[in-house]
Amino acid sequence: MGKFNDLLTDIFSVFDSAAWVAESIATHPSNYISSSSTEYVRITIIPAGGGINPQSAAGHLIADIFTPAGEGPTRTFAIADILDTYLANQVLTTSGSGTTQFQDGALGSDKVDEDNPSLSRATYSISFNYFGAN
Amino acid sequence: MGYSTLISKSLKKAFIAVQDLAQDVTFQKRTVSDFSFGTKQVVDGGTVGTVVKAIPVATKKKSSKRNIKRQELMFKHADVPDVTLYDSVVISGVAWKLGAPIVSDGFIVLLEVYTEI
Repeated sequence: MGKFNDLLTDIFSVFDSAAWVAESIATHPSNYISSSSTEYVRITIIPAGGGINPQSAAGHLIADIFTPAGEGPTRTFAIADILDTYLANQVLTTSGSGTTQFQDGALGSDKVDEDNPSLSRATYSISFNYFGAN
Repeated sequence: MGYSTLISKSLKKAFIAVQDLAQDVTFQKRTVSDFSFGTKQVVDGGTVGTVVKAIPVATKKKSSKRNIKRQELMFKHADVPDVTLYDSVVISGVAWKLGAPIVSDGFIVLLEVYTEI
């Protein structure tokens, strides 16, 4: 497959792992309509940057963390820490065609979600590089 | 009897009075149960449909870059209170995509639907 699909395979393998499932955090990708109403994470992968060769790419993983509004930042920060455990400085090779290497994660400020004001949304972001074989 | 009940009853009578001008259409929605990160696919829960009486009002065709047929469909608001919950509507065996409601006053909905021809 191509570099974008291989990158997707690498990153999705994290959220398909038994360890992540055991965290009991509802997780969905972008362009998927979630039926979760209280707490979930939405994953968006943006491989918008160029890589070191045509088979490589760089970009950001954005994880929108949705938690109940009005209950403070504690749960948001806890989920960000869990995401950090699985992503920050990790090296993924599930696709078998290349290597995805994450850097450090960052957490933005939280605010009430525009679509569903009963939820608060904060954005966890982390940069990655995908190294494909030239 | 309140005005709301009166209008609703009159609408019901009107849809009976127009007889075969009102036809059975099926609003369909896909029920998605989950997303699998392993297969990278949506876990499809099948399709459910709601059959309602609707009156096809007007049909337009547009053929500039693509051949698109548009149709206005009138039905009772009580039958389909929120069209955004549905993905398509089947009229005489043909699936049409849903557009935005042109009129939705709490009693009657005039909805534009379209299909590629």
